[in-house]
Amino acid sequence: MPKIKLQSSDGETFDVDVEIAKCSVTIKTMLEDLGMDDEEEEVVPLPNVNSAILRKVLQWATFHKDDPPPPEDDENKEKRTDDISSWDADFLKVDQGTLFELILAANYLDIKGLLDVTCKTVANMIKGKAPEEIRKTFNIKNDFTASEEDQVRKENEWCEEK
Amino acid sequence: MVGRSINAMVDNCNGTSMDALPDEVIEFILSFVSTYKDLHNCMAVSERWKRCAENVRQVKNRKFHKSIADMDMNWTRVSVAPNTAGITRRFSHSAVVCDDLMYIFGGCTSSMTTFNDLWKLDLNTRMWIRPITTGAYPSPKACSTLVQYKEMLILFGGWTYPPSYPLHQSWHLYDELHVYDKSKNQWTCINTMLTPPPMAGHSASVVGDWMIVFGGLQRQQGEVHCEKSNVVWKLNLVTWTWTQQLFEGGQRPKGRFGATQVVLDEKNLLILGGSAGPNIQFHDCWILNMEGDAWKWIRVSLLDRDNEAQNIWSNPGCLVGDKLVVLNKRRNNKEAHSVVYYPRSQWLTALPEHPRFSRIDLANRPNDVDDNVNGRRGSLLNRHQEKCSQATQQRNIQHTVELSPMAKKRLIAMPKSNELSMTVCVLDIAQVLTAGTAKWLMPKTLSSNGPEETILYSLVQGQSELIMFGGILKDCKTLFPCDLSNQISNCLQFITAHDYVI
Repeated sequence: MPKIKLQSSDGETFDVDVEIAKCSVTIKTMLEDLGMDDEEEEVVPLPNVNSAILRKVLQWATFHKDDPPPPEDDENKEKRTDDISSWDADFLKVDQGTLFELILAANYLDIKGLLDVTCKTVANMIKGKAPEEIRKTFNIKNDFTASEEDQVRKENEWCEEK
Repeated sequence: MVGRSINAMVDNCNGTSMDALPDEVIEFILSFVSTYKDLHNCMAVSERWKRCAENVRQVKNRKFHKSIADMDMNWTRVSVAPNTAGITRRFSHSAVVCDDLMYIFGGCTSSMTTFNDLWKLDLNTRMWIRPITTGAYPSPKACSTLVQYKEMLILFGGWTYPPSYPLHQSWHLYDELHVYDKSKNQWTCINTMLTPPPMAGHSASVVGDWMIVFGGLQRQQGEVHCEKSNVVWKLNLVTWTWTQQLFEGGQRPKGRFGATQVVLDEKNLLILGGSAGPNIQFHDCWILNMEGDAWKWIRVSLLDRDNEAQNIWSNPGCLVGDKLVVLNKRRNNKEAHSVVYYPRSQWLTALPEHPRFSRIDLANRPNDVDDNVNGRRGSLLNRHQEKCSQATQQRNIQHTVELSPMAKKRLIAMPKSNELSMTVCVLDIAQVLTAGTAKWLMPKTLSSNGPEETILYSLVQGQSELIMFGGILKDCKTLFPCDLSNQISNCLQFITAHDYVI
């Protein structure tokens, strides 16, 4: 199987099957647009992904390489977050920093499956939490002024939609 | 590569926080949380989260309104798993959404008895809750109205089957008025000096401090027979006094039950459809103008009636913005090649038109396993089912409710001439107060994954979704076929926009 080399931001090079690398739409487009020849063993620089994260991403992509493409009516499904496979769940048992870097990498590399599953994991961490608990979980600063916070509280008292 | 990249990503691995994510990714994450409590909580986290969460809500809401206008909706079925504690099958129940809860009261069972239980559906988790209520319970009944006023739910009227002995009693109608206090979880029976006649199938809305009640099947004192009413009663919710409303002008809708009633503004209600008995169905639309001492009925002229919903009495309507939504079976439209999904195992080669065979897929549904139905002793099997072997029965029971993804793939599409699946009909009432007109929108023949035709369900609006619950799966022309037990539903259908992706 033809391989390409991916270079992480910290200079490490990974030999990867082209088919696996192509699960990233970014890399796929790059290869097509630039007409990179599979034979030539070129190095694709990925300045936004460090080696630790790239290793994880490739691990995920290798496991999912035989997944069928997402069905066409994918968008017609109610958004579910309880459909994360057990392998993915195990794979994503990482610290928050790594999780967010995986999200950024998936977003940059345009890997929909990985972006979905990582964002769902974060969504599951939000579910059922009060605002203060959410702040604590993600270390987010409450930057509302006292009056704004009052306002927010009022607005969030159950209002009709519209 | 020694130099640090300008990108935050390259910073040390554990230091990356939620703040490093771009807005569109945060919005993508928030699009996965429930639009009820969770999204509200997210709005209170920080300035940035408030902005992102509001965007998500607005986009979802806009999508929802647009998909209603386009009549291109997504249906998601949620079933109560068999043998678990969940709401029992029912029809002609009452439903109301308050915040992130949908309340269901009463309704009819397959064995023609009625319930007086109250259920809550947590719209965040989609889980059913059965609050153990206290106080003075209402009678078991169906076709009551349940509306919200402040922290209270107001339950009025309804009917029940008569006891089986003595024979030949007519339906029992109620004039009971109950208030359910949500915070105390308590029912209170309200006794009033003057009371409207017992009624069922009426419609009710809260406008200011009043509950406005229209029509219904009513029985006047001393009368034996019920009458279809076009009378308007109003209940003052502060003093708990009833008044029969006076009208000016002779023009008024005919007496009816099962009409859809929605609030247009503080001075105007809208009435649509209803029925006055077998083969008398209404499709007319009226404004109830509540200004002055004597109110007025104003007839709305309906445009593009070719597109109107065929049944607006056992299929309730629901107002979404300036659109009135009615679910109906697909129109008998020649170019609309409707597709009905059948599991392969149940796709018999028999002529689907034959009444006995066309019912097969429904008759093979699992038996009603309600266990809190009073006086039930097993379930009656119809003639076809008796022929089914035990094994078939077993298999079909396992077939229950939610199909696995694999099973879904095995479903095959089969074009059918008698359209069974439900679709959305929309009456645009944006011009109703200014021009006195309302327009039925052109139905789209887009793919629809609606359920098979159902009647006497409840339809209410949640956050960016419509929620349909229960009802009778209607596969034949008669309203009360001989075997109902398999055709009554306890399924939820969430009708939403197709989800958006950033």
